[in-house]
Amino acid sequence: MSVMHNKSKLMMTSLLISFGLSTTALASEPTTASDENYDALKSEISELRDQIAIMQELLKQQGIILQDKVEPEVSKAEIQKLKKDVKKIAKVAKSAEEWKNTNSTVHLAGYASAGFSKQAGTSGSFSQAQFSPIFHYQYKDKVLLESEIEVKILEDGSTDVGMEYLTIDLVLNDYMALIAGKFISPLGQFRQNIHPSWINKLPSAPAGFGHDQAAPVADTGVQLRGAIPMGDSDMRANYAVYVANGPELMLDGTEIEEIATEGVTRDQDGKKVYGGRVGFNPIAKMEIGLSVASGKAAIALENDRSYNVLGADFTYQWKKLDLRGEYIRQNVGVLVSSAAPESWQWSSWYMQGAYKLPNNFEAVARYSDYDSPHASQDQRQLAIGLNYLFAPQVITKVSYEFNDGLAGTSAAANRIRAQIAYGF
Amino acid sequence: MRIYKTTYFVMVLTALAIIATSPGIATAKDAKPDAKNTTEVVKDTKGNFARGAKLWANRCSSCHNMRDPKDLTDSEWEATIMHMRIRAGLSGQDTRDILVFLQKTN
Repeated sequence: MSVMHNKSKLMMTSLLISFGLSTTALASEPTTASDENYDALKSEISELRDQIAIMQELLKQQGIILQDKVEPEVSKAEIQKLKKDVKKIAKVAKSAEEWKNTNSTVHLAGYASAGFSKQAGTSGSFSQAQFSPIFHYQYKDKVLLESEIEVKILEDGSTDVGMEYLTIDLVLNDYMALIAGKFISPLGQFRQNIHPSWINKLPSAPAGFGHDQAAPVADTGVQLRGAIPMGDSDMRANYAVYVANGPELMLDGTEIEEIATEGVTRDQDGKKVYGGRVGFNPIAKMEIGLSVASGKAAIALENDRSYNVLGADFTYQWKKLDLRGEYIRQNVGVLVSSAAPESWQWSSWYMQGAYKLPNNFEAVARYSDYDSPHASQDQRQLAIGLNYLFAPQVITKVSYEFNDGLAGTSAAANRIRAQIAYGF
Repeated sequence: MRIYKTTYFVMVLTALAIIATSPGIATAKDAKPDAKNTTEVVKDTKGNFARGAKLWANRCSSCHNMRDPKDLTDSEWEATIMHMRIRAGLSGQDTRDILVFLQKTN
């Protein structure tokens, strides 16, 4: 386009020069020139004037074309390019500022919940207010310190503070991390992955999966965990093996009242517990897990006795359906010299189905069955619930629990529960 | 009995150690472009967006509702995914893939 523009300028300049020369020539022509020559020159000048006018018009038109069509297109493209460049630069600048000279990252995660419960035959109460911050302090991609603090309000209004877990995780390579400290029990699935209120689809834990029931809660020791290489397939597998202090047995008269698995830092029997879980994902959105643990446990001031755990779990998602289930069993062996000499066993299982409904609603049903050595603790429960998701991590739940247990105990009383949970 | 269990545990640890020291397995920041690793390994240390998207959809929903990538900043995702790597037993490669996906879509 600029070449044409230059050509036009050249032509116009030539014409103007020709015109000037012609005019000069005409002015210097002697008055004695013939009328014929005069008329020819006059005609030529007129013709040149017309050509100049045409050229001027052409140039004017070209100017209009440049303004109306070419220049706006170029301008828009440039603006778009500039916008993209600015976005890129802004992101790079943000990233550079964020990570400049830092190998460490601090992050606060966690969850909180508030709840209401009403047991059949009693007046209800706003029974839950709990805050569980999780601190992450990461060094490069090699170390993670993580700790969850559980803060909750008790019935009398006092505040209970506990350390759910505290571990220092050393990433040894792509398939293994060493975890040391107090950790959530890797046995089974509910306690280590599902119990946070914003993940659990019902306001309560399945029967037998609460604290000091059939499912181990935590332990203190060291653990190796990670993924098992499976090649390029979509299959995945993971593992966790640990050695820890193990549980303590709580004596009540001539009975073992409960197995305390809160992750004590002492080891009364002096014998460790070894265990682990292997999880296998044969297809996407399905996992099957198997857990075992074995060791010794003891009542305070007594000799040790055998302690074993066996568990199996699965989870499967299909379209809007979420299915999961788990079985867990803890038992302690016979000890003749004990105040509670018999063998004792706690076991529980549950099956849960959840279905996502339109408009962010979700229906949930769960059946669980807890068998304890103590009849007053046995419980079979059917819980049905309806959830509304304000966001994927903000969930409101309403449920009704049909409970079957020893008559007259709280295990037998039906309940309605409501809860708001927020994961962050 | 105790010796048997201890031996068993040591064997398990040994097997895991063998896995841990397998060739070609390295953390992202250990791998260098000019190292004698294959090109594929070097590429993988950066994470793969497409693989990450697929893994995010398949693995994260096993336990919880999937969070919007825009919920967290790049550095927050880094710590969160590190946490999930430990908790869910993800491999280093799966972790990097998911992280790349989340950081490019947040």
